[in-house]
Amino acid sequence: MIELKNTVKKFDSYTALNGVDLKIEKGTAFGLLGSNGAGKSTILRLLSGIYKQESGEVLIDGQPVYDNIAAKQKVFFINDETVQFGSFTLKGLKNYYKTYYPNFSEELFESLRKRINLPLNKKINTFSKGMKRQAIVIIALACRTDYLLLDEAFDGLDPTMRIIVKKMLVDAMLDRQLTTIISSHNLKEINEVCDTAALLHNGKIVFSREIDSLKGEVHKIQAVFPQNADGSPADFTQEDFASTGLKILHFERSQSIYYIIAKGDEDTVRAAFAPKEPLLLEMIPLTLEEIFIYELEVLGYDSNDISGN
Amino acid sequence: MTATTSAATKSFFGKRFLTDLLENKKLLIINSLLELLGLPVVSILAIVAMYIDKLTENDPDFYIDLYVIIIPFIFIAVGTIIISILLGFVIALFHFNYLYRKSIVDMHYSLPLSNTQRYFADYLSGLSIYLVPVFIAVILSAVILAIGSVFVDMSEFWEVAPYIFKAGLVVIVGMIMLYTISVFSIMFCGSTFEAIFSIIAVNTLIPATITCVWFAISTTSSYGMVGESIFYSPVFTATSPFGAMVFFFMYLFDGIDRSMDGINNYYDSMLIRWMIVAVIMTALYLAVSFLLYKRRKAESVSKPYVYKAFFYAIGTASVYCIISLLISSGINIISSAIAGVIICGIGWFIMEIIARRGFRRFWTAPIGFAAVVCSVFLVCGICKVTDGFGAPRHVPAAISVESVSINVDDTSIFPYSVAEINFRDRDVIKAVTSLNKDAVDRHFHFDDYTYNEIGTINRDKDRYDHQHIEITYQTIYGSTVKREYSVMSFMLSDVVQTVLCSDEYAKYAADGIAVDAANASSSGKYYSSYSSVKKGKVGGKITISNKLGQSESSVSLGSESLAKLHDAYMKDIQNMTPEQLRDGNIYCMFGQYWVLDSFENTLEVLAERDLSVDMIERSDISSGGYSSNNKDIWTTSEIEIINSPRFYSRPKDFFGKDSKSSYSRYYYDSGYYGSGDDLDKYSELDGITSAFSDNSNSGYYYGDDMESEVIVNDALLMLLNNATPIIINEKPVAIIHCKNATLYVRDTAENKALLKKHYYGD
Repeated sequence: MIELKNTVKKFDSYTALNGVDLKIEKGTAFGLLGSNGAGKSTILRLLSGIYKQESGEVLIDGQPVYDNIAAKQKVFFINDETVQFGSFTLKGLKNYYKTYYPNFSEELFESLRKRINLPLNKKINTFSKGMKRQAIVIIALACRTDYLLLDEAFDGLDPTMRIIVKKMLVDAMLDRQLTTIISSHNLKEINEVCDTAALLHNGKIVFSREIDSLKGEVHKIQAVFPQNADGSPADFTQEDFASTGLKILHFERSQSIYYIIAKGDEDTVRAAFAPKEPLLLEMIPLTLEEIFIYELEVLGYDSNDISGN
Repeated sequence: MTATTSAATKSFFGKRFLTDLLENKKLLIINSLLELLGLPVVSILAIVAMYIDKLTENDPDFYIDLYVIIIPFIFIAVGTIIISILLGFVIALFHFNYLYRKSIVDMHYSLPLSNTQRYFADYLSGLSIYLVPVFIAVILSAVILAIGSVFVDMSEFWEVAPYIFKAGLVVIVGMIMLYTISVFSIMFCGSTFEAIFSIIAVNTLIPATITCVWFAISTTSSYGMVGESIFYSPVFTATSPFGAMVFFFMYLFDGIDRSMDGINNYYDSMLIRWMIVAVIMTALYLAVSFLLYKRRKAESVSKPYVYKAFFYAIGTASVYCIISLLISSGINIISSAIAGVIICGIGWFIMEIIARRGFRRFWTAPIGFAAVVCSVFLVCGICKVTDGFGAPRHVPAAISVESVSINVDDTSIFPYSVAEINFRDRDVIKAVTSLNKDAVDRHFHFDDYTYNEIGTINRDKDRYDHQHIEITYQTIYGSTVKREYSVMSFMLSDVVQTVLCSDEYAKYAADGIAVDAANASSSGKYYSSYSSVKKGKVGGKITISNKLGQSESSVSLGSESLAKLHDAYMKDIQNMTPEQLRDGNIYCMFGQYWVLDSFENTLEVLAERDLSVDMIERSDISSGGYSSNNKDIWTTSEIEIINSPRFYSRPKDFFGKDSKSSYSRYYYDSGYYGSGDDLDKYSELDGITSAFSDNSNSGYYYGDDMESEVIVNDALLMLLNNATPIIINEKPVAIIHCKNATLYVRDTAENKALLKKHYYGD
């Protein structure tokens, strides 16, 4: 299990993580979401023992990670760069990592390599960006660590390769309970691969939940209410709905139609709307991307605000 | 289970070490090629040179211009050796590249390694790539030379080989230091430019700052300090690769010579001390690097300077060096300081722009520069006010001195080569430190001392015979302390007596006699040390003369006889008491070495050979003529009698407040010599100390002024026989320059009577 307890990480005067608490159970496919500079990569680097936190704890299976060989041996980190492998051949890179990870499986490596047909003895700097990414992914999987951390994992892969690589990851998760932590801006992919996700903003965790329950908790509501006695359209404000105990993430009205994004399970939402006797009440499930956008909007990370519109 | 995990994690060090070697195998190949073109090629050239040398020796008609053949290859070999040495910092840069290349830092830091394992594995793999080719080249060279010695007589080379090996050790330690300092420098930086710049800066600034600080101390009117002494100190030689290079060349060109000459060689103990200090310093650089490495964060990569204090340290050292160099250049101090500040300012702001990657918060740059300049001037000011931080007052305690050497410019005190003896004799050390303290005390408490004030017509007060001396201490702490002073010659009395009665001088003098004798024999072979004479079981030719260097007679001695004479002379000196030295008569001279009447063992060996020396006779003073005034009086131009020494100086000139310790000026008093009328005036000069007659130079000094008509009578001959080159803190009644010898006439009733008789007749 991975645990971050009240973790603070600073870069000079800039606080990248500000008291983050996070738990990731073994065997989870965990997605790290967040705005740019939210602290996703920082968390991954803390978990792989690259960075040392200023305060708090970063634990893998109950052991601190930084400068701890036993803990680090359980983790493989793939960052968003590929230039570092340029001077190696795939064979050389495999041998390099094989030295450090005693569970390395030659058979697994060979089978994965054959699936994506990567040359063994060519210098990696002659590979395309996608091929480089594939190369390090198959090495990471062959290292057979308990935890695999991927920063922008699918960057540079073509759609076919994305499917293959995702399948590789899913196979590993199913075969040996690999815990995967994926940081990506591509929410569709997180949605596809991960079962749990956390949203980070300004160095803090906004939420950390199973994606399915997350989707069931946020709803896009379209509602139409009866006209007033004088024939004018019903006039409700955001506060009218918030006062019922709903957490309104987004509120918009067009003529008599209300578009509302609200947090809470379906029954709670319906119960909150019932006193206002809506003529129409339609609840549409949100995509992860929409949840991401609306959650951050509440925190002031609104595309309209940022672009100045 | 725990044990298995522990063993597994420990083995990562070895794995990292090996992967590092493999990752940098290209560097290993390049270094190996360079090394193979270095020492082994030099070895082959040495064999060829020796072979051609032998051919030339055996066949005078055989001629090959050796240097034309060898020099191009020497250039190639030396060039490759220099490049392979400089590879040290390239290897360090490659092995710790993840500290300044952002793209690879994650890869290295995320591996299952502890910081300690990563650091030491990287350090040692780099060191292996750097040094393993050197060891291979050394072994290969040894094999080549061993094979070569089967075909060519290389006995001379094998004699030098142990010293070359020691010099090689200096190179190896220097290389380890270069590599370690490079690693140390990289720890401060997070980008490529700064990493390279820092390596160059640290390697340059450590020796430069030490030198500039020392020169500031020794030039700030610091009494007795010697600027160049810093180059002998481990503070300079053992703290940086540049210092190690200076030490290497010193050892190569001076130390090996001394060792081969068999002169008491302080380089051997200096080498051990240097090794100890250099290894400690290297370990220190390594330890500090490790601490910095552990402390630095992965995210520091791409910052120009991870530790900003380092940038200011480099800047301060550079500013100090430039300003102190300009100030000590002798140009006007204010204009030098202003020029220094301008030059440093330009450099400083350029470096600030580079380090800041622009003009971010640039207003702090002038503040930083002003603080640095102020601190530099403050240090210079304190140095001036404290008279070189009090260093001139420091005299090593005798107990802390391992050995000492003393050089007196005037060869009438010691022969030049005595300066090469490194005395370990405690009595000599005590005498020298005591002399040193005396000189320092006379300078810093000048008013506490009174000097004879004998005011006479047209003369200055306080006339003294003075000597310029240089003292070099090797302390038990590994430092070399050098001082120079001008002192009145009587102050040297104790030192002269203890030196000449010491066992080390006894051995030096006896060895000198034997080596001179061996080299004077007809074999034509040159011997540099007594050990080689003894080893070669060679005899020699001894030349005996009177104290004027006249009436030479020589005799050939077999190896056993020569050894017997050597041992006898050594024993006699060892047995000699200071009283015997002071009051003894010179029986004869072996070249420059005198034999006293009290040297029983030596005289016994001479008697066995029927060798004796006659009294000085008229015939010993040749090229005479009759007086221009009286054709009955036999005169000579080879003798000069001085009743009042003409050369003198004043204590205030070398002990006074603004005096220079290296003062060496003599006043010349032209009117006082060679006349019976001046018999009473010698007392104006205080005690003279002199233990040798410099047969080669005294004529040079006095020749021009020699009187043409010194009367040669019986009184003069008796005076010559009574006179001695050894006078210790006495006022001689006269000084006689005869031929090339300087002899002193002691102040006795007999000598005074003889002087009168010489001048005025019966």
